[in-house]
Amino acid sequence: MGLRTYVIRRLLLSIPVLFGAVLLIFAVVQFLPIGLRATLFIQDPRQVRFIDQIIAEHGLDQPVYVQFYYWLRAVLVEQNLGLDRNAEPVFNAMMARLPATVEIVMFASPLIVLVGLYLGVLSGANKDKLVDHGSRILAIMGTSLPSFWFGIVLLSIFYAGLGWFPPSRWGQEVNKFITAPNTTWTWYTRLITIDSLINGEYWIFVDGIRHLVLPVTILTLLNSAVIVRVTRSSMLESLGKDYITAAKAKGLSKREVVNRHARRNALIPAITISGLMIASLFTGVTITETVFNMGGIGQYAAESARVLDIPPVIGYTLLSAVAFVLSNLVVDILYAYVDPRIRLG
Amino acid sequence: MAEKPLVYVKDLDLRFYTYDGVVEALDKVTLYIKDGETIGVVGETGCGKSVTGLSELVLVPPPGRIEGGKVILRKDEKWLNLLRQREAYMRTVRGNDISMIFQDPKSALNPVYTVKQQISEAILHHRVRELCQKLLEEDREAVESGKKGTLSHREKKTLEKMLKNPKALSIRFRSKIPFLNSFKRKIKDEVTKEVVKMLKDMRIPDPERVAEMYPHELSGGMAQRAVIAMALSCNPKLLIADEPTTNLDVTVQLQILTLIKDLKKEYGMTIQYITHDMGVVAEMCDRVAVMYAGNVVELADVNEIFKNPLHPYTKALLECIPRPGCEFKSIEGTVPSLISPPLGCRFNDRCPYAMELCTKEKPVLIRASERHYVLCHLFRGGVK
Amino acid sequence: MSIRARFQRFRTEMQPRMKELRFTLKLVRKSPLSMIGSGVILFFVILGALAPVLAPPGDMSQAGDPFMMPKDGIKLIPQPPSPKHPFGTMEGQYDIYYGCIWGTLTAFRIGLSVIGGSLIIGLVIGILAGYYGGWIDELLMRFTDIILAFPGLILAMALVVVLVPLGIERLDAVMLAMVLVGWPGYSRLIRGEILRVKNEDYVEAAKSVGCSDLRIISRHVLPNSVYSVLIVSTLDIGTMVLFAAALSFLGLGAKPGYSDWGQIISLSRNWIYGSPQNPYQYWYTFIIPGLFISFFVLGWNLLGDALRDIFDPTLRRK
Repeated sequence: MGLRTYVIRRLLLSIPVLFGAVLLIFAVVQFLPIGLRATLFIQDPRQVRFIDQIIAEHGLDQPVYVQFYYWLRAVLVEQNLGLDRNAEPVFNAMMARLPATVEIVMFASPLIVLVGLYLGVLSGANKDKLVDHGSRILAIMGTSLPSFWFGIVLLSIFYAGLGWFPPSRWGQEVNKFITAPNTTWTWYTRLITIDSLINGEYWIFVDGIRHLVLPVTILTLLNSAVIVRVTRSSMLESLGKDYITAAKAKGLSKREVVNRHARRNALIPAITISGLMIASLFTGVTITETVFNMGGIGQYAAESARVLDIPPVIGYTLLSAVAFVLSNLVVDILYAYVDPRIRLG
Repeated sequence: MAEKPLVYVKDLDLRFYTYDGVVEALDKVTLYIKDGETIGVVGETGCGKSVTGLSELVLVPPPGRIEGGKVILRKDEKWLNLLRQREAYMRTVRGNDISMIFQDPKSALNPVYTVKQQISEAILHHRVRELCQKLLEEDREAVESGKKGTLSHREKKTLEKMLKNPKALSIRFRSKIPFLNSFKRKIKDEVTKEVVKMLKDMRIPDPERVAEMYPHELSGGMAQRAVIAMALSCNPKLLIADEPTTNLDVTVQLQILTLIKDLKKEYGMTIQYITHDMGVVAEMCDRVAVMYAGNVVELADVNEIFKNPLHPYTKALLECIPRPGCEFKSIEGTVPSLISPPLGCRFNDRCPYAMELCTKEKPVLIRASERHYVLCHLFRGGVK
Repeated sequence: MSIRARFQRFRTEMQPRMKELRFTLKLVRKSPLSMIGSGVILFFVILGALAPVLAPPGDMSQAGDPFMMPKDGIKLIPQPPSPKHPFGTMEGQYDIYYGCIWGTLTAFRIGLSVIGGSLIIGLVIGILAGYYGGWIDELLMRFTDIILAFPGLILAMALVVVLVPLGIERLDAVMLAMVLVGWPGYSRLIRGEILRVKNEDYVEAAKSVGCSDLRIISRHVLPNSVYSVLIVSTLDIGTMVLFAAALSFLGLGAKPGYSDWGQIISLSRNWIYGSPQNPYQYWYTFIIPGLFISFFVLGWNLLGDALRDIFDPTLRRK
């Protein structure tokens, strides 16, 4: 059916899902008593006194569909997600913390995919040999260890014990430099690694990387496990196909057969799983950010949840749903591009 | 045997070590193939005809293991036991001296590569030196006749080096760098020309377009032609055809069979045609090897087999061919399990002529006449 | 038909299934991974069953709830392992040993009830969608898709945050949230299996003879499709416990002092850097409960993995 048609089709299909997700969040919120719901709308702490007015203004005493309209309008048009417990608008708070999360995900995602795919292919091509057993054990460990616990253990060893990889995004020295009154530092992307390179402050870059090592390592170890497993079984399936025998009958060596024929076919389903990893990444990031105090939106939401501060949690849920649907869309399109059977109809 | 055969399989033993036990898939299988002839290997499903073909290429997948016997190929005036050769050597034999085509053409082709890419692979693997030679020749001729050379100096140097050792590290390195790899493009163009020529020989219309297609875009017949093109791209002496028409529509079957016959004449090939269809055998083959439960039970010229079948199984097989006006006939009983095959002759429980000896002792291949061999105790003292 | 005859018929019907079961058990015994996994799980079962014996609640419990960890004093600083407290104590002098042992029971309780709940809801919805097809299928599947559009932990967080103000106990809210987040996965699975089985010839045959829908579902469709779902759910028990531990760690789960592994680790957060002299001083507050979680989940994962390989039809009869 052609790539373009496929893309458009997938795009159109995502819209009702997205809409449904938003609807679901709204439905969940509806369970709260009316007073609490009102807090989702206020932008200024002083407005708390005028709860009745707010209720009337946003139609909280009106039928459900009216409320939905008001809420949607608040979220989409005014970017009003309410206030958090510190009387800060949730939207602004999340946007301020977004770069931290993006930075971790930016480094972790390619690592997870590459490590997972590479080990999976290696495992499948060398079934039951040492490499295979080794990576299978790694994979099982990855799915069995609690990420927060592993994070704590690593912190204990590598920070408290060895002092190599500290938590948080940057150290005190860097902080002093950045926040000094007449500093030369300018924020561009709000990502410490990239901005430090742009500013030419390489020591800050190194410091940023040091702080990222542990969280990225944990995310990689724990999330590549699933990819390894899926790629491995996909590889085994691929190696059992007839075209592998045909390729061998042409006189190709085992390495050529594995690399050129088996691997490309095995990677196709593995790409889908890699995409689904993004979902796990959200959960993983939330926990990892909290453990390592990275100041990202995940940590923000988690700490809000702990004290039952609702607006940030709802805001975060909305954001993750949107990001999740979009990333699935991207993966599906990539999949269609790579598999000629879909690309050419 | 008068002249030396091209392929001689002697006493081939093949076992599969599976979960449920050891499967004695091939038991002292013996046959020979002479230059330029088409030998049909017939038998029911599971009789071992396909693995015999794979064994000749030493491509039997684990848990299978060849446990005994010889597979002798006559190459360059020498006789080589392929089972004793190193894997690296076998890789020069596969696709080059012996090629194989498969039952399901669509699954024999890798769905993510185009037809051209897959055929090129075989050509690049075996014939790259020849192509380098050709390119250098062209260049030399152009220069000699006063025109500008077709190759740049750098390309010429690289090609000359490739002549000596195509897999050299420096060649591989150079082929990855954008400016230095123009020689690669020249070779690829040559290969593409060869591919299109092959496809045209396969009577495929519009071969340039078909070359760029992916397997799922082809019909069954086209796909099989592509597979045949792939197999013949390096001019093998022996083509092993493993039921190539079984999965195709009847009308397409005829086309492919005709194509194979024509190609045989054009390329002067020897063909080992594996099938379960006696009709195809009658149509295509010069000689026939009948297999049952991992044994070659009869080996003779095609006319002999049809006129004068000796082995009880062959006889029963021929009687089973449906004829208008006659009742349906079948052979009673089922093929024995090969995990604990019966002692003695493997056909004895279904054989109408079974004697006591047949349950105790295994028969050996007996020469019933000049070119007619049979595996049966009935013929112990020569033709009855 | 007489009772005896009915019983005989049951036995003959069960025979092939029994044989399969015996074959499966044989495969389980042969696979080292599944034996290790089963061993680990068995260990925890025994631990849980013997909890009242190994860590008697009598002497130090509070509020009469055996799941609350006993407090021995009010000091804030955790104490290292000693004869009285084999695994040491946490902040607030909760006995870690007690918490870990009774935590086994909590883990089983969480894992089994969440999986049970998800399975029930998931199977019902999946079967309805798969068997009846049409607009029922569309509707139900859109609904599951919407829930699946959220990362699990996050949706669970949101649900807990909404449920608790409504007055539900925290731990129960967490379990309810996990069930609500977990059932769509099973629906999808069973629906897929049913769609596959629905087209098989024996279902056509049953329909053509006039069997009622319920009969067809329960006797023909279910037994053949439920296998893979059960396998996946075994694996998920471990994942659910991890999930619950993560939520506990974030402060959403059991209340402080409850025997829950995640909860114990959550309380140890202040002590992971140790003291200036010894960075590993309070290792016991998080290493020990963490090991409990890891091994528990590992056991289930090993078993689930091995079971998956065992039931894979392509590998089953090598």
